[in-house]
Amino acid sequence: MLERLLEMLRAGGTHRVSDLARALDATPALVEMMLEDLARAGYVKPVATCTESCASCPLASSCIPAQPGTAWTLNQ
Amino acid sequence: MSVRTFQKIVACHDTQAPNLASPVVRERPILVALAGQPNVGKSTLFNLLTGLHQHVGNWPGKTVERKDGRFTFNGVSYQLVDLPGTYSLTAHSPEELIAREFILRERPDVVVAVVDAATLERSLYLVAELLPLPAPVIVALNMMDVAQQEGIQIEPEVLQAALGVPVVPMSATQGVGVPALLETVERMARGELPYAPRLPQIRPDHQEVLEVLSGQIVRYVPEPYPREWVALKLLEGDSEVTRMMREALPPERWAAVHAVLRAHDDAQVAVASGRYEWIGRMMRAAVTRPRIGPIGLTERLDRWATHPIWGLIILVGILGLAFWLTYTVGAPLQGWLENGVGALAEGARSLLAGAPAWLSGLLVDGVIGGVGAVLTFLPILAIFFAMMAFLEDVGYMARAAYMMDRLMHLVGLHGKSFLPLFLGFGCNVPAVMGTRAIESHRARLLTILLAPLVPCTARMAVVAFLAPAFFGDAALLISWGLILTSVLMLALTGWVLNRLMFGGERWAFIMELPLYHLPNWRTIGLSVWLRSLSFVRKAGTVILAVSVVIWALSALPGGDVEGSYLAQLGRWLEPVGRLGGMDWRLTVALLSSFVAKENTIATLGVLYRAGEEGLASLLAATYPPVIALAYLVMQMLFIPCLATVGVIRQETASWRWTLFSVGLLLMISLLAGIVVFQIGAWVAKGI
Repeated sequence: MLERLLEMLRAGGTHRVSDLARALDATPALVEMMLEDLARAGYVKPVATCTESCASCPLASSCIPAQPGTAWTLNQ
Repeated sequence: MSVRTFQKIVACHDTQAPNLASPVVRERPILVALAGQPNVGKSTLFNLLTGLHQHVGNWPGKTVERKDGRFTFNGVSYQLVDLPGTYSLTAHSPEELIAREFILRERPDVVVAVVDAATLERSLYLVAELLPLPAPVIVALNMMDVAQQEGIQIEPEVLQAALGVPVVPMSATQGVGVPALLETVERMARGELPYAPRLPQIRPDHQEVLEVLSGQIVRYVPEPYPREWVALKLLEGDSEVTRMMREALPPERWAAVHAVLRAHDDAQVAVASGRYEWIGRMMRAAVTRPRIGPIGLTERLDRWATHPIWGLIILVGILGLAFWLTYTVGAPLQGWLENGVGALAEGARSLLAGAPAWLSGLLVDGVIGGVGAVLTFLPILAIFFAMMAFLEDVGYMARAAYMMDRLMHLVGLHGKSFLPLFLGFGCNVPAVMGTRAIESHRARLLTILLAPLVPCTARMAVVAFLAPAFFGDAALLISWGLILTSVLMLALTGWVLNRLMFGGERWAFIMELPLYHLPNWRTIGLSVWLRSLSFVRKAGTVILAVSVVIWALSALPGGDVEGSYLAQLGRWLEPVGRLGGMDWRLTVALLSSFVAKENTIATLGVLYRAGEEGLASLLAATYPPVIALAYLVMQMLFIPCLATVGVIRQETASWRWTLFSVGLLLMISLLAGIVVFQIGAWVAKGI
């Protein structure tokens, strides 16, 4: 299952965890676990969210944290 | 909890009295290890069972807390060891090492794997690692009450059949199922229960490798480690087991083992993959999840909102609706405010009738004309901010970003660029700063170059004012088209640069979208208030300063705008502006937006001495639609504000790339403006 997930990611594109879960006949929580595992093994990497990049933003104080959930990207 | 059950257990701890109903005598207590990931209720169960008869210390040589205790139940004595909470048993952390070493060395009579029924997948990974160890495992299916509350249906009998080990449903916090668990532990320790765990399997080709490894290490595996388990951990790349076997094997044998491992460096994924397949099977067999409630609603809405075609139509529709509402509600308010500013200018001019002409000009034409013109669109902005805050708060903006990202991928753009570019809709400065998350230099550079093409709030605010001023009822369509143009230019530029700089590499990006939820009006209100306040502050500082400078340059040397220094500068630049239909006033206004985008309006306000009459009506009377459209296109794509350029210099650490960025955007905006104007003029001629 992990290998199939890796294959899907290597094909490129934008994926939602729920779509990956459906394709793998698994639950989104299981896909999240696999992504964490792949991250530990160095295959994927969690994408940094709005932290220091927001510090310089004049709208930072008024920004609703519109984080698009957890995001991951394939390591090169 | 069943109070009687709890009291019964506590009574057993306190008195250590044998239960005469079951007079079992053992030479030593049953050694039970409690295993489980953090926060599954393991400590609750431990405390419930051991009560005051527990000892807390550290594991030998470690700073990890060790808890063990004794109790009796039904006349049987138990020694309970609470293993550290872990997610797996691979040597990632001291906790994981301690847990597995205890089971391997102490060989407990029973390992109770406490799992969270509400998040069973997460807990089952540890179970998959516990089963190959030389100790019988019982699964304590804890938090069944929480799972039931969440609508998750688990069939313990089915799970038991699928796992091949006893499964006891329970709720430690309520004391439910604890006696059944202890009875199962006792029967397991006595060997009265069948135990045939179904272990995770790995791919057949890796299974062969596993057998080869197992054969190579035979006779060299130190006690008490099982050979099959050691071979599996070697294949998995476990650092501790690898170190142990490197020391245990003769050098030539280790070289052979090492060669096998090197030839199968993907085995780590294969081993873990087998465990996930196994978890998937267990989940499919025994768990039914709810299809109603927030998750079901989000899924149903997302079927449309993130559909490749419908999602785009919805995105365009929502954007259009946001602008329509902004203009419908905001335009009358803006008109009233413009009248108010006009009255203020008139009043100021009357008051300053006796004052020097320069002072009256500075205050009425410079300050009120410039800052006042910008402030009149505060209602439009506030409504626009409210729309955006609403969409962000209910969770739609993440879907909008997802649809945008899909579009970016269609043109081969870097997936990691997504978040920084997403931030750019608020302000381009954090968009450029946000590229720090991208480790590839080329990818980062590309994202920095593209970030200014994301229409930021300030640009959209300018459009929100100028589009109705120039186009009246068609403003909605024009605004929508301008944003679409920006996004298309971003995609086109990205496509070209990606091919030039990256050779068309493909990237993967995975994200999860938050659940939709009802809006929190307080959060939205606060956001609108703070953003509006920030805008007013900007009007009182940067825009005020630029307005004064623009007024001074437009009044000097003789007080006549047409003969002013600014007019001379504008006329010098006019030949370039004329290609896009702009006169010197529009050219200067566009240039002044380099300091801050809103200065475009302030500058036009000063140049048209818009204090009393209102800028919107003056602009509508002066410029035909084709010039207005070309100007708006140029404004949207023009070089970013000074702050963004400064950050581009800081992040690229290169003046060359900073100037390249400025030059690129200047070229894009001018070309786009010229194309729009020339086509528009040609069409107008034809009509």
